[in-house]
Amino acid sequence: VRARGGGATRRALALAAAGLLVAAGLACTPDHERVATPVPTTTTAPPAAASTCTAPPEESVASYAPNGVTPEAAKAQTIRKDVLVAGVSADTYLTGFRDPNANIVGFDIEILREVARSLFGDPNKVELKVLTVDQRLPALQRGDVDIVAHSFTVTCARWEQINFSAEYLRAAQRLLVSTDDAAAERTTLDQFAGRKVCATKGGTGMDNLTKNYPKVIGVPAADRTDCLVMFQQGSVDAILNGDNLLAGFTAQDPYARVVGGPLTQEPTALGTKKGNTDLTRFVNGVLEEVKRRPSTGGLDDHSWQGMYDRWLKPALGPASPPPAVYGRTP
Amino acid sequence: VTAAGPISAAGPPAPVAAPGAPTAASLPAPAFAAPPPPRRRLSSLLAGTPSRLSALSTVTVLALLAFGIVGALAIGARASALADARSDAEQLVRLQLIRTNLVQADAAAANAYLAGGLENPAQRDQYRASIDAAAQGLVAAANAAPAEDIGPLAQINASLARYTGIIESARANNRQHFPVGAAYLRQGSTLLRTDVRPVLIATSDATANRVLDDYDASARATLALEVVSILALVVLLGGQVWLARTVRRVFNVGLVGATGIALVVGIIGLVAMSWAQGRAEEVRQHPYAAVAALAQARVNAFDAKSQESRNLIFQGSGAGDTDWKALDAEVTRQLDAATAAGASSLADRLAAWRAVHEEIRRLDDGGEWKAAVVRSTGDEAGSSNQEFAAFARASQDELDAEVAETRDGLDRAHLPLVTVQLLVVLAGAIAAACAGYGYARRLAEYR
Repeated sequence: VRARGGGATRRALALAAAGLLVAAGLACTPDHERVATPVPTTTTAPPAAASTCTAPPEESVASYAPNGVTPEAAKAQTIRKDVLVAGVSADTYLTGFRDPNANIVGFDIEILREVARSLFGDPNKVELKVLTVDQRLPALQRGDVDIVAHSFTVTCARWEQINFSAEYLRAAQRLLVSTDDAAAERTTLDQFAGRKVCATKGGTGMDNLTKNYPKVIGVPAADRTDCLVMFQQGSVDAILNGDNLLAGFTAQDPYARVVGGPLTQEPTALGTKKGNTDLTRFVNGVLEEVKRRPSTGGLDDHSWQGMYDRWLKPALGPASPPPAVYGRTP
Repeated sequence: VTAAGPISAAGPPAPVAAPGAPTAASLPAPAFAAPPPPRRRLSSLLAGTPSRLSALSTVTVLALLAFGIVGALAIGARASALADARSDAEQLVRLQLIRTNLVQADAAAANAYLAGGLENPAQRDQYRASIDAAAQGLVAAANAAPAEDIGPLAQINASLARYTGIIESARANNRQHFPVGAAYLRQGSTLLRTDVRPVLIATSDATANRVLDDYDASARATLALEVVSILALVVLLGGQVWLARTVRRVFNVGLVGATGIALVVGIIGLVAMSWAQGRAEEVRQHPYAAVAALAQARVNAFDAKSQESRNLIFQGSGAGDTDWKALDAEVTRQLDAATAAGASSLADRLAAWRAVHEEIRRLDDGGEWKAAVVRSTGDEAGSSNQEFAAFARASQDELDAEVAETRDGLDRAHLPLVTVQLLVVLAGAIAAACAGYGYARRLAEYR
């Protein structure tokens, strides 16, 4: 039983959960629950106006300490209360993509399921909504989704609009080029001046291109993998993105190489709605526990190390979980 | 100066004003009259009754010949305008069918992708059949297209080649479980929407406007026949009135005969014209209106079908079901228009598919995405694919019937005009001969 599937079992669980909720609503004081529910429409953050943020992403990773927040307080900040509504990617190989059975799987998705397991006692209590990269912020701000697990880079400017969990993966922005360019040692963005480099619309790669490499012709793509299509069709010469995502591209295209050193640090975290601090704290508690679990190497290895080794290690090499940084106050 | 030769030398002389106008430099001599007495001065040429008689005779013969020739041309113009309307209407159907085929191909590709894994051979066949039909339709449309449409159709042909290439890349990647296949599929779909659709819509609109222009041209032809008929009758009647006053003979068999022929055949011509126009109008308001509405309804219905798959692919993000609902409302409106124009109602067929679609939405919204996908991509009875195929077949049959009716209706409207055209030419010639004979008889009395 995966994703939103699962026919009878899923239905029975939903019914049971609904029944429990009704019973709880009758027994407890419903007013208390309502108070804890954030009003969805009032907290629309100002549009991403010229942000004053200049700090690099790796200095913006501080999130809210778990502080022993209860699942109830976190659940109260979800949309459906009995299932986690999550925005994910469906075409980013290895982190969030559709498998041959049309189920959405990947490293990000497994992290997400651990949050659902702790919050609702069932890793399948997740309703996946497919988002493009630049739909991630608005979907959280509008309250369409509770959480975004979409290779989301923590930045200072985004912190002004949404909350981030603690970091669960440290990626780095790098360059993907053709094997020909790699053989010719064209490995830096400066060597691509006057040539076309694809980056995702609304992603950090595009910001980097426009700010720091005005001589490179930046080609925006609506979604990450659209860049790979353009690269394979020869309409762009290179792709700029996080190395975790580029790893998925090289796995699909033997004529692509990731070259050069890391350009920027890309701490990756789960996004939640601004103001949903209890939910963010709870997610951080889950991440801490998942990072601590020992890896068993089995199929039901739900430790950070186990999931990383399954999905990303073959492409990115060995890594250990990034440490959590707290200290942010609401 | 002797009078110039017969008929050919004359410009169109004003019918009744000629007598007594001494300024005319070279009024033609009557063809049937004996040569005029020699050494007469031009000014006195029209002074005597015989000269006036021969001038009048010439004018009358010319007016009747004009009636025959111009009248026949006018009828011919209407017939060919209606034939144009027929071929333009057929071209419109071809263009709309290309659009339907392309949307259908895209719907099949999206549906196959959604099903995941190894593609369903039936769906693959559906995709290939749609692409083949679109390619053949493009060739047929280019053959029948006016010069200005060749460029846009060639552009569509090039985009179609690109589209099939992109979809093959999507397949190749999907077979290796590479998610870049989904991105190729999306690019193909976008290509159809942004590059092909606007060009096809513009070409279809231009063709639909040409059908209306054909109708206008056909309506203008009536005026020409009316003008020459009235002209011929005025000349004939005016001549007879003048004869009756001048030579005190009320009846002239030749002229009365000519008048009768011109009157009867003129009326036949006008009646035939207005009958043909009436038939053509009926075709426009019934089968042709139904063809236009049904073709549009089918395009939107196939678009709605692929929207259903896209909604499931994107799992509830984006516009949700609102696009589908807008398309469904549009299809309903167009089917109503087709029914109003005389087509059989397809509302039940559409409703059957809509019921399955709504169940799919209920399943998906209730968290049963997998079950929704099975209902949407399966081929068992009661699936979205089956119900939609039933609607597609029924609407195709209905469209074919209305197309045949449009074609036959326009044929029935313009083919009889060819006979009437011959009749008018003949009548003009015979009436001209009768009138010439009638004047010659009078002139003979002066010899």
